Amino acid sequence: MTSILNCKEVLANLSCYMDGDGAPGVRKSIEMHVVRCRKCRVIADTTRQTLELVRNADPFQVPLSVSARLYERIEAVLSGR
Amino acid sequence: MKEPSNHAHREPSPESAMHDLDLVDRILAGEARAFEPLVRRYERRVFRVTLAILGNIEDAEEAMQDTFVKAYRHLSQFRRESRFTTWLTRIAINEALQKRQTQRNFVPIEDAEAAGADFMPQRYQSWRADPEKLHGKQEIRRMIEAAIESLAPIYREVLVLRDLEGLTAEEAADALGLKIPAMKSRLLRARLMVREQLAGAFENPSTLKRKIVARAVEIREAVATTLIRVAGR
Repeated sequence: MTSILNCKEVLANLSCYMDGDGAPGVRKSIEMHVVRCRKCRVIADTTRQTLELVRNADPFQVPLSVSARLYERIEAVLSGR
Repeated sequence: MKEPSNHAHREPSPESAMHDLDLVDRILAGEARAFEPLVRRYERRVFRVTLAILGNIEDAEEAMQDTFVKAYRHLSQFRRESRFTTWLTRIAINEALQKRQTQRNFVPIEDAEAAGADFMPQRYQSWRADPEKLHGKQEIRRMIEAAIESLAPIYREVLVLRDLEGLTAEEAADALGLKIPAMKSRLLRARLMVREQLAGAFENPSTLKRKIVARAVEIREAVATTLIRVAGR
């Protein structure tokens, strides 16, 4: 039988749930809780949105000057200078 | 090497299509120039990792350069039990962690851990359906970068390794010298903290009507939960 988790337990397991981890019973429990609890549903939905945004944003480009200095250093190493 | 590459428009070349291990073979056979495509291919990854751990561009740049130099000089030690990129990322993480030990302003891990341990979400408003349309890609990127930068390093590094660079839980925990449950616990907080930072910009506007409806839904749910518990006794 699947036990009902409280909000704190759902939150503690949310990240693992999103990564596809966790025992089937716990996963089912989270799903049952989220259907009924608006706060946890919002947190689950918006955390999922957060992860999608983070991945899609492709943040932290290498600044061109940083890239140029890296290539200079590598050039020096490769040419034995 | 020539000018800094523009990744999106770089002309395809035979080297850019070559497998990492083929390039490694060529370097070990004495063709030093075969290291260049590996630098171009992974500079972004190495930079993000070192920046996540060190928190400023100057130190991240130095650690990135040292990572590639070390990888080149120690390439014969690469055992091929893992992918080249995993091996390289491990070097980057180690370089950055070593450098962090010397940073004067680094908050001790125990203090940072304690500061984040009680973190609880405060914002419970749902978000607009498509933030990217509302704000534009550049603006979203800026917001995401600001949110990630605001995290303490111990949270920032797990988020970048897992959610941006795609390391497995085992790889990330191992590289950072953490047990898997500790890494997962930090990752949960990191994700919730970034969510909280973004919520202000992405939430649906909160009108009085919306607040009343939300409160009514909460009351209904609380009653339903109580009834289910009572019925189960």
